[in-house]
Parts: sequence; structure tokens; C-alpha cells
Amino acid sequence: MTDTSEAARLAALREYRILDTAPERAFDDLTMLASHICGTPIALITLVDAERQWFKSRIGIALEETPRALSFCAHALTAPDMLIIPDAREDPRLRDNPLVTGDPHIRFYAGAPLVTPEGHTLGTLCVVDRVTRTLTPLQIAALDALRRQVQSQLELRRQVFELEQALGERDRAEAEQAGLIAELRTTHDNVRRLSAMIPFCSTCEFTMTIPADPAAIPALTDGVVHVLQEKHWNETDVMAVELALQEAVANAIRHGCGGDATKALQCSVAWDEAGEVVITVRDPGAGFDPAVVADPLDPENILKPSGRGIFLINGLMDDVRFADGGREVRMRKKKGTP
Amino acid sequence: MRAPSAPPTIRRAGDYNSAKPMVISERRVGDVTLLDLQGRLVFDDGDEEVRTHVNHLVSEARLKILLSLREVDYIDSCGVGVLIAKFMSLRRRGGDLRLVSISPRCRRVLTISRLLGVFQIFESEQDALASFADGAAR
Repeated sequence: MTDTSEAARLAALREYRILDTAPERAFDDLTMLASHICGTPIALITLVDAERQWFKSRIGIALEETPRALSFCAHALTAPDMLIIPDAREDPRLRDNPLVTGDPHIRFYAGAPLVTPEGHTLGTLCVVDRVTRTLTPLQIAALDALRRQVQSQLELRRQVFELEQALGERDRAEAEQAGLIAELRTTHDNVRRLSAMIPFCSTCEFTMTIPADPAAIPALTDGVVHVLQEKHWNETDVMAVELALQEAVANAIRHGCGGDATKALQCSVAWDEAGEVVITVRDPGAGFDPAVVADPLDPENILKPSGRGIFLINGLMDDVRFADGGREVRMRKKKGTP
Repeated sequence: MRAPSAPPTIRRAGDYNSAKPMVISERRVGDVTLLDLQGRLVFDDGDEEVRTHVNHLVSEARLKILLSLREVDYIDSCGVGVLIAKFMSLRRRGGDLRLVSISPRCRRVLTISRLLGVFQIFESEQDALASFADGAAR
């Protein structure tokens, strides 16, 4: 057996999660029948691990496992069919085995391989005797039938385990989904309560600290758009405020925070009874002089890819003022005709 | 409302329904490449995708590019900047960047920026493709 196929065989054995488990009636019944039918004092269900053979079920022997080097069944792993050894003293592979030369003085062995649907031999259903003997064709057929029953029990065990795992995963997914739905419902209720108030607010101001991360911009612009729509602003004015805010925040992130998402900028959005929205964006940067910003409409600049942000803000809002050395922009727009 | 002491944890832009990531569908008609843009074309959201896609076409020597902006529902100065940069870059190489089916929002921003006359803009894809066939691209 190659190292690769042995590794695959051991991996298959692990999938059954049967090693070192407690005795089970379903397996013990089958070893008992094997022992009775074959007339041997010893019958075993063996599973061949990397360094040992472990007995899932055993009749007539007290050992729970033996080193793999002493295992008869390890030889059965590579046998194409049932391995029958009438007298171990005459088999060159086994005659020096301490289980043959000493206690329990094994002479006879018949092992039927336990093969998975994928073709890996995990161990054997075997019968053992302390005297030389052989099996009749009927006994061989019966042992083979019992072997198939052991294989069926192994498969059943694996399928039950897989089913339990799938059910566990389903339960976890359902619990997670229920949690998300509850969270969503709470959020939705909160949004609905806030939204319901907006049309009645005569004045209001949101003051926010926003991470200097472009991914935060849509949350801010979407919120302001929502508020303006609730206040029945017309589409053109909503778009103007949305774009001016986008430009102001993008400028603050790029220039005021140097694109460093760990920094933060301050933003306030307020509207008053007269229907005017006032937006202030403030960044922690070095500021700039708005007077020296190049005119993007100048023929020299019209085809430059950058430098349009402040120009757009000026064009979209009614009044735009810079303060604190350019670190703060305050812009106003009156509600137009709906 | 009190400002929180630290910036809150935020979701990525793509998590917001209104900010789906830019999707670019490419079709090739002869030596013209049509790019259908779908999504936002703004700072850090769509601008880099368009820049990279056009750069890749240029590396394949595909220099006649038609951008459909029908489904670009949001553009800012960075988005406009990418259009200008790629327009200039293609023109320098003997190609061209033309626009078709621009959305009302894109038209408004281009109008304010006085760039409506810079780009060749078409109402129909057929007319736009015909303009390349006429040899109007340098």
C-alpha cells in the first residue's frame, strides 16, 4: 500500500469517528453470530489505525487493541478477498508473531475485509481459533454476509453523524437568520419612527463624526436625501445638495485627512423653519486658501481631470463660505418650488 | 444629537442598496469597444474600475471607446475627472472616447462643468457607432 493510499485510508477511517468509542450492541451481535456460526472461541471487528489495530467489538479476548505490527488483520487489508490462514505456524508472515509463539497461541485466522463504498479497507470482521482448522463453504458465505452487515452498520453510523452535523448547521443558520431578522426589524422600526417625525420637524440639526472613509459617504448622502425628500424638496434641489455634500466630504477625506481612514471629519446638517438647509463639513487637515483655487472653466484648466469639486459646490448651493483657513466649508441652499 | 467620541464602524459602500459596486459590461463592434457602465461613478466608487478597464483596452491597442452612461445614476467631480483623463489619453494616442445615452444626472454635472461640448455625445448607440465608422475619430 502506498503512503498516499494509506493516508487516504486513514482519513476515511477518521470520517467514521468510531475509534475508541464504547461497545455497541449492533456490532457485538454480529461478532457473536460470527463466533457461533464459525465455531471459533474468538471473533472480532478490527479497525486498523496508523500504529495499532483497535477492536470495536470482541468475543473471547480481553485486549482492546494490539500494536499494528502484531496484527493479522493488517495483512487482510491488502488481500483481494477473505484471508484464511488454517495454521499460522506455517505462514511465513505470521509464524514468528508473538501472538502465535506465545499467549493466546493463535493458529487459525479468517478475516473478511470491511471496505467502504469508496474502496478503502478499514479493518476486518475476523474469527480466530487456538487450534488449526478451516471453514466450510457455508461458514465462509455466512461470514461474508455478516461482513456486509458490519459495513452497513458503519455506513449507517457515518450517515447519522453527517445528518447530525447538517442539522446542527441548519439550526445554527436558522438561529443566525432569526437574530438578523430581529436586528433588521428593530432597525426598521427605529427608522420608521424617525422618518415619521421628519415632516413635522420645523428645525432640526444632525451633528456627526464620520470616519474619513469613502465607504461612509453613501450613508451620509442617502440620509440627507431621505430627509430632504421627506420635506418635499424637488428632485433638482435634492440632487444639488446631495452632490455638493458628496464633493465636500470627498474633498475633506482626500485633502483634509490625506485619505487616512483612521481620521475623522465633522459634519452637521441642519434645516430651519424657512426651509433652508445648512451643511457644514470640517476636516482636521492643514486647510487651504479658496481664493487661489484654479478656475476649472479657464481654457487652460477645462481639460484637467481634477479641480472641479469646489467649483461644483459653488454652482450647486446658494451660498458657500470657507472658514478656519479652509478647514471648514459651510454651504446653504433654500428649498425651491416643489 | 451628540457626536460620538470615535468614528463608528461602517459597512463598505457595496453594502448599501443605493451604492452597488460599478458593473462594466463590454461589447466589441469592429474596432469600437462599447462599455455599458452600471452604478455610481464617484470618488472611490466606480472611478477606479472605469480607469482600470479603459487602461486595459488601451494596452490591447483598442483606442475607440464608447461609454454608455444610461445607468450611471450618480457622478461627481472624480467621475468626471476619469472621463476627462481617459478622453485626453485616448486622443493623444489617436483614439477617442465618446459618450452615449447619458443619464439626466450625468448631463447636469457635465453641463455645470461646461464639458458637454468637449465630449461627442450621442442619443443612440447606432449613431455613436456610425460616427466612429465615419472616421471622425482621429
